[in-house]
Amino acid sequence: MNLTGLVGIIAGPLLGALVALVVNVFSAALGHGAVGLIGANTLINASEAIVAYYAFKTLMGMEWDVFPASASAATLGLSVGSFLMGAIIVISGVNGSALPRGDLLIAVGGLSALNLGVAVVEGILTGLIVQFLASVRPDLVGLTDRDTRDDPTGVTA
Amino acid sequence: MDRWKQYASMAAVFSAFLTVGYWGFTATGGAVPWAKRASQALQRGVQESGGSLVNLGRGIVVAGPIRKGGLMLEFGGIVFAFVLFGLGLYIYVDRYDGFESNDRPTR
Repeated sequence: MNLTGLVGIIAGPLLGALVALVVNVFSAALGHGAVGLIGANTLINASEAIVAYYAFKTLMGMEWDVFPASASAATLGLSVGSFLMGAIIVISGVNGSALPRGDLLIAVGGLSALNLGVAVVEGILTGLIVQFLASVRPDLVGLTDRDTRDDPTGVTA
Repeated sequence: MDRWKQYASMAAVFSAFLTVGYWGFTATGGAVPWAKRASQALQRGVQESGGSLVNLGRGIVVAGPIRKGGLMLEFGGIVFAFVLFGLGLYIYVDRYDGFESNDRPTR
C-alpha cells in the first residue's frame, strides 16, 4: 500500500512519477524492493499515479462526486499497476526459477488478482482522504471551480 | 450524473475486484504462505539490523544489498541529486507560481 493513487491525484502525472522514483530509491535503502528493481517498481508506481490522475479528471469532468471519483480512480490506477507488475514478471521471468512460463502466468495471475482486492481497500482510503482535502483545501485537488462543501442546513448556534 | 449511478458504478468495480481478489487470495494458498513470508522478512530484519532507523552510534542503516554491494557512494550521490533537484523544484514553484497555475494555484 503505497498510496500512489493519492499521489497521482494530488501531484499530477509529472510530479507523481517523480515522487514514485524518489519513494522507490528510499524504499530500496530500507530493503523494501531492491536496487536492481528501482526501474521496474518506478514504472509500476508511476503508471498507477498517472492512471489515477487521468481517471479522476475524467470522472470529475462527468460531474461525479469527489469520493466515488477519487476512490474509483485510485482503484483503477492500482489495478493497472497490478497487471503491469504481473506482465513484467511473466515477460522477464524469475531469476533462478525453473517454472515453465505457463505455470508462472497462473501463479502471477493469482498474485495480481490478490492485489485487486487490496486496491479496493486503498481506493476507499484514498477516497476518504481526497474528500477531506477537497473540503478543506479544494485547490490542492484542482477543484477551485467547484463548491464541494455541503449546503448549510439552516441550523445555527 | 445521478449520485446513485456513481455509487452503483463504484460498487460494481469494487465488488468485481474484491471477488477476483478473494480468488487470488485462495489461489495463492490463503493466509498461511503470506504469514510465513511476512514472519521471515521480519526475522531477517531483526537479525540484520534491529533497533531504531537512525542511531547516532551506528549511523543511518541502509539495506544490505546497497551496503554490502559497495554502492553506498552511488546511493549517496542519488540522494544528493534528489536534494538538489528538490531545492530546484522549490525555487521554480516559488518563483513561477506552480506548474499548472491556471487550475492549481499554490497560494
